[in-house]
Amino acid sequence: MRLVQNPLQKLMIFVISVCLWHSPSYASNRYYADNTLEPTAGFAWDWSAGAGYYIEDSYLVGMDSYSHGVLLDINLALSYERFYLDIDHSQLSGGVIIGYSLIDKFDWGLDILGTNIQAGFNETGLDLYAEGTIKELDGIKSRRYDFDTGLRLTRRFENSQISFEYLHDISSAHNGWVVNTFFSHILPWQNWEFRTGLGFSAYSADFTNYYFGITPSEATPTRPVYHTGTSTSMIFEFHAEYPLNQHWVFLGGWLSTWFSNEIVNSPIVSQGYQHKAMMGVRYVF
Amino acid sequence: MYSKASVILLLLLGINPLYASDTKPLDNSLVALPDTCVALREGRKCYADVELNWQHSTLGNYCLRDATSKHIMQCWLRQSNGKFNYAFDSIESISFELINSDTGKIIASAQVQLQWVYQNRQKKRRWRLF
Repeated sequence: MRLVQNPLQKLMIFVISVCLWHSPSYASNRYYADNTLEPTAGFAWDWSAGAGYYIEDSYLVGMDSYSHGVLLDINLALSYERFYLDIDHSQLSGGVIIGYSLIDKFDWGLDILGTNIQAGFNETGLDLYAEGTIKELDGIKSRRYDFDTGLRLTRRFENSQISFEYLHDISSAHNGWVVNTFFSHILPWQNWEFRTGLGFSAYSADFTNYYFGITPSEATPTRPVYHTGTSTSMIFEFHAEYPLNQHWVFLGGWLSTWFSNEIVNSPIVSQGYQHKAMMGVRYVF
Repeated sequence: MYSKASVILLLLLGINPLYASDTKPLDNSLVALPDTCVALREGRKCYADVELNWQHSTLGNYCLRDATSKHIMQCWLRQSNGKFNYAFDSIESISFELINSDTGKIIASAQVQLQWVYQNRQKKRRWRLF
């Protein structure tokens, strides 16, 4: 037991340090699992750091249609018995999920979890290193990252799984709910691993209005007051990973998101979709 | 094997590629190139095109076999060297032996080691793409 505690204490210091490292970005959290592999028993963890290049066609008004740049990432995947923690800082953003498996039988799983769903943004937009105010977003209040807790039901197949989630914000950012459905598939080919996912999400009116509504105090002659109801989005992603050697991996990916009219009609949204592509390398310690 | 861009990238990062530099076989030797196969996750099969080169100081009848199963992969008659291309496709390291087919004596051996990047095989993994 003493052997487990010391690494855990070190890990907690590391985890807290990473959690405090925070900057805005838009992100997606999705499930994948290769259920053909036997899960590691007891305590197991991997952590990694890397860098990559991205190109993005963002949905917020005033943002460059094809912004690009370098992104850094720090990631930690930790599991102990029924507990698991994943931190993924592919854009140094707050990608954290903490979970506990309540039921895990007959290819079905029920988990209680907490995670960030929506990245925050402000007058500078969504770009990682943006400093200057974007004219079209000037005067909007800062939208904070949320932190949601709830239940996830998962049906596993060999290399695929489908998940249903009901989550509720406990961070007082929007105080709304989010429902996620996501189907994922892992395809190993030679030493490559290809991951694809397709998801559908519904967001409460509180969520939608917090991030995409315009309050009277934010309204301008070119940015009218906007209040709407529940909204939806659809997401598709593709990810490829290849081991260069025992510590280095190559990563490449594509993410597309499509939004419903409740989001598209917002005065601070320029288009009904967002595309993003990235490639890079990661060192796994 | 690698594109120009990927070679430059590997050089910049100080990475040793999976396919190691050429190593000439020594006398009475069996050499596997590459001698390591890296899979992404523990428990998953690893794939590599392995070249097994052998040589011996005297002409003779020799066979190459799997050291564990003793399965004969190829034999050579009245030769002092040979090459065998092996499609490595395994979830564990594999050892090879060069034997004298007349006496059954093991002349040399070589191993292709299996390594992996990620050790944490958890079912409830949530990856974040961006």
